[in-house]
Amino acid sequence: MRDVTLSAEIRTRLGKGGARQLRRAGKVPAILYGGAEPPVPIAVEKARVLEIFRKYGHTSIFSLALDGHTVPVIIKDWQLDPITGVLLHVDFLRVDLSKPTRVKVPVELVGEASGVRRGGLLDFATHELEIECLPMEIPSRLQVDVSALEIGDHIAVKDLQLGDRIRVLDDPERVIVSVLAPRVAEEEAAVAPTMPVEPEVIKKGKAEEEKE
Amino acid sequence: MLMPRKVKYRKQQRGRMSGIATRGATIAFGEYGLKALEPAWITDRQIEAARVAITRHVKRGGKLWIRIFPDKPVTRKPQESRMGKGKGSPEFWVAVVKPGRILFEIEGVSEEMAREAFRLAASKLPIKTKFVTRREQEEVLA
Repeated sequence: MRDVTLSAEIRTRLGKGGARQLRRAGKVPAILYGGAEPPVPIAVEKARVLEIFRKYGHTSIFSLALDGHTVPVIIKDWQLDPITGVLLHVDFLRVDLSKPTRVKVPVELVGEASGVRRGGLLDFATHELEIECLPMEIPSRLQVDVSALEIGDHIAVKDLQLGDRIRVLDDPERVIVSVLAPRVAEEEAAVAPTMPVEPEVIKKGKAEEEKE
Repeated sequence: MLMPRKVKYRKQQRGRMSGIATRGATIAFGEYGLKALEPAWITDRQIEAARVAITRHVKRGGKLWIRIFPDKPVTRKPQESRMGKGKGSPEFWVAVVKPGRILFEIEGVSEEMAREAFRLAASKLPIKTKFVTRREQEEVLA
């Protein structure tokens, strides 16, 4: 648990107008939920939340100070403006430090694959994995060493060595990263035949459907 | 050129492009992306021209994802024909793009190369675009 405390206030004016008013004042509307207590709409300082995102990542546990109490929380979800990328809303989940929790943790690749040095292409397919572990043991990133990967090799979820305390919830066969063979000639060839083709699309007639 | 393999109806009404993209607005596959900042109909030819510009620039290496698909048919009436007599015939396909939509994604290339490839691709498109990265999305850097 990080030694960070984020102060929050209860939101009284809900909805679009209240949320916009908060954003204009440099705050972010948020919600606190989880555990036995009911959800509480809150507002937090935007600059402080961004600091947590950038310094510690979204998988860190910290304290949220609300109404004179502090609760350990984790950032469960967040919304960004689709155009500007500005933070619009944050979901905080109350965490029981003694119970395992589920969280999505980003995967970080370490080293340079030897297949890439030989001209292969590193295909990083799974950027995030869902894990279950005790809140105090949530890693900020799952590091995957790719330096031994040759062309055609891959690392799947089952190949990860995370110890007994962390359980990955994704499919064990799911590929995290692979090294593909380079394809140079193929790409250019693909351009030519697609150009002249302009067929009429197959029409699925109404009569046909009625028969079905 | 991209187009649906099979459609239920040959012709569509034009529709509206109001609002912003609520889906397909985040980088999901690659490391870098090209984001639309304006609404538009992007034609199959424009998508293809942009794709060719990107693949030519990155030469080898790099994996590209096209996040939009032209599934809307656009009709035209023949030149010098009088009005009426029904809707024209389908001429080309478009993807309806709203602001915020990720158009292309790429990985396996350096940031400079991705920026330049997307700059070339953007010049083939009828809208303003923005270069975005997975990192700024994860760390909320905007």
